[in-house]
Amino acid sequence: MSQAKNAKTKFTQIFRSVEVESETDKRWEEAGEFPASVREIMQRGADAGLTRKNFMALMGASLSMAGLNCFKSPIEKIVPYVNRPVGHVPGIAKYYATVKANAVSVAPVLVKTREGKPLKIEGHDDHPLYRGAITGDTVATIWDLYDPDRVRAPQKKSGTAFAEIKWEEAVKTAVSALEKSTVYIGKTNFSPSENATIDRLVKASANRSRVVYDPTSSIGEALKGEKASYGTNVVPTYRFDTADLILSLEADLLGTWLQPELYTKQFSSKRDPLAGNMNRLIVAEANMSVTGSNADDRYALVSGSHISLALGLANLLLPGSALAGNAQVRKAVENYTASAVSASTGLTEKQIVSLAEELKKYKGRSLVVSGGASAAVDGNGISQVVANLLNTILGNDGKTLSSATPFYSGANITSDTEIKKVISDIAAGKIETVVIDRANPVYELEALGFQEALSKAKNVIFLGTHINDSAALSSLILPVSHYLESWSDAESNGYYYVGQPAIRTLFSTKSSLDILLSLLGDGQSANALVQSTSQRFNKAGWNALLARGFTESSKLNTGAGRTFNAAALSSVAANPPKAGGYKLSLYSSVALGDGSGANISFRQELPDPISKMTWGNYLAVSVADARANGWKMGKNVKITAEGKSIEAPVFVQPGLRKGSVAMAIGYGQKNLGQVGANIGVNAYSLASAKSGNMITAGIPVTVEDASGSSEMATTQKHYELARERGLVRSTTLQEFQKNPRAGHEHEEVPHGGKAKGLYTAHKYTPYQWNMNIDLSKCTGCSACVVSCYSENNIPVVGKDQVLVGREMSWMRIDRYYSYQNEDQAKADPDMVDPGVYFQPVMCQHCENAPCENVCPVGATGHSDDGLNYMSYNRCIGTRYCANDCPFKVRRFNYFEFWEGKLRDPEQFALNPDVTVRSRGVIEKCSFCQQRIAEKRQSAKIAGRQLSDGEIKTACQQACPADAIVFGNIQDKEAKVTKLKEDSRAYQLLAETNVKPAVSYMVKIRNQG
Amino acid sequence: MVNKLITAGKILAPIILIGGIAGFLFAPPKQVGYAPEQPIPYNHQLHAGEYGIDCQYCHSGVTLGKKAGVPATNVCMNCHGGIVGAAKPDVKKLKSIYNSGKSPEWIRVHNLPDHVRFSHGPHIKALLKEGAPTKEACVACHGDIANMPVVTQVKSLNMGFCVNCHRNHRDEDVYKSKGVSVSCNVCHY
Repeated sequence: MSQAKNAKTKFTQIFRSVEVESETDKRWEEAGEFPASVREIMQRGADAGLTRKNFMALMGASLSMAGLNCFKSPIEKIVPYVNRPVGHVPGIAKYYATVKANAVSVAPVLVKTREGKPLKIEGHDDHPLYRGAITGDTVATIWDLYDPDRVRAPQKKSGTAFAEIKWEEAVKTAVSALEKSTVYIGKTNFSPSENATIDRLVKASANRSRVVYDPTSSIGEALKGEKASYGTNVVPTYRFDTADLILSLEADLLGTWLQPELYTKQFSSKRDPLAGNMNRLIVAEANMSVTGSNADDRYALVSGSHISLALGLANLLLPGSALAGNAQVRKAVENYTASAVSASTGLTEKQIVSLAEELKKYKGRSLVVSGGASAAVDGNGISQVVANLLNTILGNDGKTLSSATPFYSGANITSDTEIKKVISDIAAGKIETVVIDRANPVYELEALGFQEALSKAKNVIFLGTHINDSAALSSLILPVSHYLESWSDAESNGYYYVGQPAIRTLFSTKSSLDILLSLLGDGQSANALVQSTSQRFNKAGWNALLARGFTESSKLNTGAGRTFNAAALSSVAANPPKAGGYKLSLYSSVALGDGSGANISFRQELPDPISKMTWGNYLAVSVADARANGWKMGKNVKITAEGKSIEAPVFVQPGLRKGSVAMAIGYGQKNLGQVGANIGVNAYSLASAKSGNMITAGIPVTVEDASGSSEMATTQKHYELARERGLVRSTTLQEFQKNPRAGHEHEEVPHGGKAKGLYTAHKYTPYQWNMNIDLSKCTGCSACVVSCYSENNIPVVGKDQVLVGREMSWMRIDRYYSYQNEDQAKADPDMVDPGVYFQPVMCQHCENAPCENVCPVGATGHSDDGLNYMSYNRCIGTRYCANDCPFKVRRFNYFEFWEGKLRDPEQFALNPDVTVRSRGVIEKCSFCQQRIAEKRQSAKIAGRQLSDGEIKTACQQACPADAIVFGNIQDKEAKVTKLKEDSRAYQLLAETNVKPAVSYMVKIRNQG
Repeated sequence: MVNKLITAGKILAPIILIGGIAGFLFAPPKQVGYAPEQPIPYNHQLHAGEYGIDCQYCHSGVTLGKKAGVPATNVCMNCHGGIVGAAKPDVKKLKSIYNSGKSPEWIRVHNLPDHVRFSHGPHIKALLKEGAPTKEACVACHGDIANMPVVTQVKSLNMGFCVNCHRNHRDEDVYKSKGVSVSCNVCHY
């Protein structure tokens, strides 16, 4: 807290939190690092009428009772297999290749299983495109499988409650309902087998129709724009690994847009300053996204004005381009002069002109992308159209993006006009049966009045995993299996994927494909259908396909440039809209995405990469607006759009322009399960429907004070390091090329010039584990944090405990804002354009660890392979170690989180190779000791040494940016050794001579 | 209710405490000599001793990873599925369990606490001599199982037992290159 106060008095180059006084940090500030639980316990005792004497008697009795336990060893039973499956050895994990495909992305994954139970989802290392990339979102799906709130059997509504029924009866009921006029409502779908089956189902009768929608406007916006621009129903493949300049207009390509894991992999492959292989990322956006925070240059826009900027750029770039002679294009853009665009976006004319100049330099090797909920200003895909226009003008089409092997070629999107017609048909009783397939239109399409219409439908058949807001209003629920229990397939980017089950269904559920086939009534199984579909793509045989999980259906191809249809610009306003008032943009959050997985507590507790908020959403407002209105963090406000209003707390977010406000979707669902219901507010209810389309960006709103304030469980001030200078080091590519030691200016020198140690150095043989984290590559996406939770049985503590700083995360990602110098800071008092830095911090496994010396019971110590270990069975919870840790990475386990707290079948998600900690012990990052042990043991059995890169920690495995490297520093040829000797490498608090085993690489920004 | 509990606590606490301390000080290590009755009295002396079946025939995971493994019941049936011992009541019992699609619920004899992680593979690899029967490598911790009609724990398998071996033998030529360690994190993580 002290350094936060320092920031007021003197200029610090880098800071962690915004200097707007907050109501809700008080609990954390009063409590300090170790909020004493004694006070709480005493209060509870006093409430129960316990005297001190009675308390002592009870404690004595319970202690001695506990002692009684020690006399008799527990009797443990061994129940072996009756017939052990071939190749299956108890205790040894098996990995299966499968695919996680949902409405907006496809992710090839490996599923780690032990004794037949899936344990962890990892990226598919052998996939030529993804190369192991995975999002936290995908890692978190393991908890979906073991979610006790899943629908466990088919249910039929009788009266107001649901009653379980048999599958045969459920299918019979559904089939007879389908005989009435029916609409099938689903989301975008990557599965060729499913799309064909749904089409067969819909076309089997003339009075059935299909609606496909995408409330996150990622694929939906792209499909609509592609149709308008090129007349095709595909979303192209983007090649960020071939583009030297990336311009993102509201597309959060590193966070939530389409395939962030793949795009991060491609993006970070061109963030190698030493080889001079550096791309440039320019982001123009209203809200601060993960992509924006990683931008080399970021332009804060007024919400929804990215279209104006794009057309302004097109206007400047048009002369001399392929479309120069096109009168229709010229007419659409001619009023978008630099000055008009400046008035619309809030940028200066100079910024716009220089951006155009720079784009001109990168003709044919740049890539412009736009999309997502915060880009959907008209519901017709205009953001994709303007991106296409710019890519055509710059000659990028066919070079850095291509539709030859499209990212998406599945079910086509339904326009909002048609959806409105369907809704009015349901309301008028013309459509009697509504099938909702793995979607939540009641929640997502609130703006279009879906819920009111649905009450008029006679039959509502819901296919899904949870009773969400739509399922609650349905008459029949057909429970869908998790993807790890199902046969499925998907097609994307020129690859065909097959999804195989890794476990038999836990409940009486069926795979989506099986349900669809049973509705068709032709007796085919999902497995048979996937096998026959796969023959179209796969020549290598079924078993070979299953072993790999995918096959190349056609070569990834760039293809030729397409002809842009200028008529797509006909809906563009003749003049750029003027800025003014509050404008709201909705966005998908990294933690929750579209909200379908909101019942996973780990997701709710994952701190947002930018705001570090957990458990709920908020209205992000600019610093300028907060100052002008006297809003403090957590102040409740009432937001009104088109007569509908909701209340939400305010979060003051640097990087927003005055007037721009933003809110995350996915929150505020009324039904879902014990965890996910009623957390945050439903931002969809503010979506605009005035034009007939659902619009989620640039919505004019009014924001007024409401009564009171809400507690904000943000972790941004928790576990701060002792100082801020020199922790995150950064420089520009230009500086770095002049001086390889650039960025180390704030390095502290130890007292007396040279660090001296009190103790003799450790001897390491033959391994000494080290880690290297490249801050140039790290995007803050938080996949590592989720992976760490999944691997290490880390408990979720809940909002109340996060508020007092008891979150258990073994690794956190520190986020800093910064300015290069004092002048820059003074020129931007409203913090519209701060630099943003991410720094993953876990136990640094110091060679001279301060924590080791202070443990009175020797529970933490130093191993001969360089690990700072924790023996939980020795720990008595003095917390001296955590007090002494300069990196604040040790966590005290205050409560019993697992024993007796798990609801069946949650216990299956626990990793049997990691101790489940009970209360009263300190825990922390172990460098994935269990993974090291596993590989070391197998190397010993094989009688060999470990090879470099053989051991991957959970965070490293999940990192889509390849920012984390782990290895043996005793091996001079190891990658981690080379990196540690690099001029960019540094250690945190090195001057204190703690000698951390984790080193960081200076972040390099490419300033053009 | 609360008052009764408190009274009971006041009376019981000193008795249990004194008894507990006495027990802790004078009782022998409980685990040594542990020989629980198994659901089927499988005789190691007969199978491993008299018939000389190698340990790995049944405990096939022992060189592969953490667990030696109790054999799947169909391994028993390799011999007992036919006429071997068909008349014996215990074999009949085994067969009927197998035929009902189940396995006997064996009682674990060598039971380490949950906070200890032991992996068989590397130990057998280090102790097993080329061409020798597996039992020679097992003896160090499990005793001469091949001569036990009922499996009995003969070593304490406590931390001192493990550490002594690791500390006393790690500098011997045979084990020098094996990375034998006494760091806590070798077993506790």
